[in-house]
Amino acid sequence: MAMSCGQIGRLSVASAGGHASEAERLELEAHLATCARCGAEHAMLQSTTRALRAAEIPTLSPAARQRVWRAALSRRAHAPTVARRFGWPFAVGTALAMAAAVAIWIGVRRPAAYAVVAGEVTAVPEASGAHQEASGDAVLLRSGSGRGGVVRLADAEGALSPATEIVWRRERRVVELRQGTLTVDVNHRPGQHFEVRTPRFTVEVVGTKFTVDMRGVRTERGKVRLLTPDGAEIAYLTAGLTWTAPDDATSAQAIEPPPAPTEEPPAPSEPPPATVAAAAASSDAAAPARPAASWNRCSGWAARSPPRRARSTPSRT
Amino acid sequence: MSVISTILGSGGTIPGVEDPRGAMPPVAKADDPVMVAGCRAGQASSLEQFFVTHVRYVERVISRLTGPTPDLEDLVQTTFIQAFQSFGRYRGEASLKTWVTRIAVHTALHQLRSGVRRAVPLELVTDADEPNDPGAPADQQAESRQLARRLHALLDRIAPKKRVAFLLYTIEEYSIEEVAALTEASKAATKSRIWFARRELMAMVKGQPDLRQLIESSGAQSWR
Repeated sequence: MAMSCGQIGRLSVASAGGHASEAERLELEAHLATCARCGAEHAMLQSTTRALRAAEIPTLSPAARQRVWRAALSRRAHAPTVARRFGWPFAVGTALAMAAAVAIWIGVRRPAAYAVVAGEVTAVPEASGAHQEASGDAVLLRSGSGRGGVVRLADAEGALSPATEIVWRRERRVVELRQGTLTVDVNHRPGQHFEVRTPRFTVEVVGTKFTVDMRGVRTERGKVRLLTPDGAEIAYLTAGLTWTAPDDATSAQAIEPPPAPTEEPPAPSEPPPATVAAAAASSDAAAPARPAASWNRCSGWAARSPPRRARSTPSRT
Repeated sequence: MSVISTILGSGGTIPGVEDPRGAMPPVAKADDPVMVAGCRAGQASSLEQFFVTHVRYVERVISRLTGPTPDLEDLVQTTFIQAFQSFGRYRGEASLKTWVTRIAVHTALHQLRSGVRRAVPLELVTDADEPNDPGAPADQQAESRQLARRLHALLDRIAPKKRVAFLLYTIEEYSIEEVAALTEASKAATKSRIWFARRELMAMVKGQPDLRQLIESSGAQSWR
């Protein structure tokens, strides 16, 4: 089959470069003999390539070659074979090792000390002697007398009422409440321990939000376990329940649920420092009226219980 | 005295340097494994042997692709610096000649893409060892030089990739596959580039009757 002029054009280029076979050359000649236009194009291309090929080729002088040699030698790579030949596997290995190191670091890293999220909370330097037990991983945190604050304690969040003082021991995940009122919101995770200690009782977190002062606990969400200072279990305190400690906490036996509200209380919300302070002030005011050596509901907290808590509160004995 | 100073310092015939034209298209001659290992290890003696073997071919390829340029020394130097620094990545799949030619092609392409074209001095340093036509009269050589300069001026107006593919295929006589490998392009793209470069060059030549006449009178004859 006869070739088109376009095909012959491609064959012409191949012929100019010396790539055409004998059969192709004969076919080219046959076409060119009958097509003046292709013949002129082919002749021009052949002449042009011949002229380019015949042109003088500038080359370097011996002195220039010496300069090139010295410059290239001075910038050679020294003994790169092993590192370069296995560069890719080395790079992958290094990346994996770094990823493993990061994973290990994440797994074994010490829990974060603390972070002040809001309000006025200051850390008392250990060297100040303000709190002798606050050493090592422990840090003493104190809220201002007129304003509370919120601190991040590992994966928990603590709202300190005004003039509250806590010691945070991050290694053991223990908060020691020295004075004031603390509301703790903890996202419980299996195997993660978190507790708040007072001189009279200990609150062990099962996964909850609760408020502690020096006399008692109120659970807002979830459940806490109450312990005596020497570790004896007192009871579990579920959502909506309030517990106050007697003068002698170990003799405590009863927990009373809060009463059902008689009117619609305000909607429950995260207690900001100011709310906590109010609660603390309320409970402080109620404290002198409480009978000693008996388990009582904190009237101040009970009055603030949200309706859903009150409706679902079971009786406890 | 080192091999390179003995060979290059004299300015005379360079023994052991292969004839680039005679070796085209390149038939991969087995490289000396000791030299290759030495080059990978950065040994000066092996690098010197590599340099002496290939420097003139590199000069020629770059000159062909870029045309007469005062930057030839810089381009050759860039090629060998890159080669010396890249020996660790040389896997031996292609011959050293093909490998260094690929670097030279890339260097030339980069130069052409940069668009920096300095004026060429009238006195070109020509290859004294291999005159193209030693028996040609002086006026014919001058005419040939002028023709080449004008043709390269036309080639400057063609896109670098097309120009390089066309020259490698038609002047350096590399096959389509080899041009594709040297320019790291597909065969289809290479064919297309050669075809379009040819078409553009012919159109430009046709548009310049005096150049056309010069080509015809340069002794180049039609196929007929």
